[in-house]
Amino acid sequence: MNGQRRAPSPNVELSDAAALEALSQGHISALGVLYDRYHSAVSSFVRRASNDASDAEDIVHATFMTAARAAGHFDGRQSCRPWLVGIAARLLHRRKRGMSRWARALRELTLREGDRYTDPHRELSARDEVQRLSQALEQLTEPKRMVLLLAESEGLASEDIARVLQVPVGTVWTRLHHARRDLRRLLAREGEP
Amino acid sequence: MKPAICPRKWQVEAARDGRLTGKDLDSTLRHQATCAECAGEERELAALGEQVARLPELPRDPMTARRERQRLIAALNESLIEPRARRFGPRAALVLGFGIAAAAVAWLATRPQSANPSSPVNSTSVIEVHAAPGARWSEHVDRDLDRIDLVDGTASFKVHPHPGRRVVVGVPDGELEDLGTVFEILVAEQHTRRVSVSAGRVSVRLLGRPSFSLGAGETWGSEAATASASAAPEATQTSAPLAARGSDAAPNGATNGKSTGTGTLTRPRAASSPSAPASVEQLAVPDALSAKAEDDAYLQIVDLLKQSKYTQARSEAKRYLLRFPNGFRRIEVLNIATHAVDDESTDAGR
Repeated sequence: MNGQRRAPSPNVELSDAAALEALSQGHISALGVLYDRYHSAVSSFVRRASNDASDAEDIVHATFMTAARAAGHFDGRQSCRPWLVGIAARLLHRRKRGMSRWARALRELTLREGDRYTDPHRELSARDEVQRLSQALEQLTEPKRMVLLLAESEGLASEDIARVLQVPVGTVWTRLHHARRDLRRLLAREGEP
Repeated sequence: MKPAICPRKWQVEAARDGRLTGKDLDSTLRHQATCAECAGEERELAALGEQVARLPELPRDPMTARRERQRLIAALNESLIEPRARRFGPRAALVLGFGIAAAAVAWLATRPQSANPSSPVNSTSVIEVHAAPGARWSEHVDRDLDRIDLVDGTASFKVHPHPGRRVVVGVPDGELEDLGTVFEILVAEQHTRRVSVSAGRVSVRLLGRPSFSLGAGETWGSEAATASASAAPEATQTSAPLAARGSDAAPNGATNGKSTGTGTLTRPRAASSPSAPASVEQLAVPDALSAKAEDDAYLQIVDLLKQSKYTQARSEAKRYLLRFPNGFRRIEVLNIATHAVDDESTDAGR
């Protein structure tokens, strides 16, 4: 018998809480389980909330790394998706606009048009509801868009959003109100002939 | 005449967001049941919320997802094995800032120049570089290694006696190690085209060729027909993993040289790019930054293999290894390059 710690069998379907517990004990494969389950949701949130695909992968990476380090603090609720999205939102919120932004701007200047990211889904579904809503969302300011997505798409309560973004709950309510108002106005304008 | 607006309409959103509680909430909900305008507002807000909630997840390239998954788990593994020091506090960050500034000043003071005629690069350098106009190169001096990276153009080198120090000239497709020498290199389109040795001896290790050495008066050209050197493949093959065991353009002939280096083949380091960039394009390193470019290059190789175009696949595999020396699929591509060679030789033997 060897003295190695046994990792949970990959064949067993781990709950989120069990995966995070395994992660907190150093079983790195548990991070792969969570990644497979939620990377798409986290990536979508980051890309929608930030309107900037260039550093989305880095934010997603940092989100899961932060989750791995904080795995022991997970409260054991059924799904860790809101928790992960909350981490992503906080990282987005705190992201610095320093030299890295300059470097990115320079790179953007040199990217040929053909190299730019094009979303085939977006191209195919032009003019449909999703497209209209996505375009309207893109026109909101980032703070408004993020609060709206956290509230309506991720189902976070205003108090939780305030905690995640480290702003007063009154600010969350204000942003939510303005986001809805702007979005309705934009959608109404889109619908006009 | 404007339509009347219900004065309690604001309560709909307030109730929805949890700002109203207790009696006020109950009252609002009762009002909504009787007020068409407030009921309509509630329906609109609910519909908007549902629309946002129903937004589909944005599609993500599966190859990117796989690569990022690997990167993530590798990073976590590294952080567990070698936990970093505690996070910097503000004071440490300040010290770090000064450090970076000092390093930047030092770099500016010692940075190599493009096409700078005939002068040793700095006081500790043992190499005298004579670069032709337009040549791009850089120098890195360590305690026991002097390394020049020639990215493009022609440059000749005079190496002063350097007991105990290695002198290596990196080229896009390999490297040359000086054994006490005066020599000239021509690099064009990411490939070494010519090496001429005037004095001493140079050990040459190029991607896809056996390493060999050149002595005084010998010249090697990238085409086998133009090679006038009489140099023999070295007894010791380079240990570099990228050095495929091709024999296509190896010079024939004479002397056995000693390969004293480790023979690691590297591409020029973009971060230490030598010349002052002439345009914004030169500031960017699109290959290194674009995971998509790497994916595309890899898919192209796979596509060629599927079409049984082994020669092209091998050539693309080599290009991939040059462009992405630390690429996500470098081992796989190296295998593809080797197997493509085998398949070709099998085909030729039939």
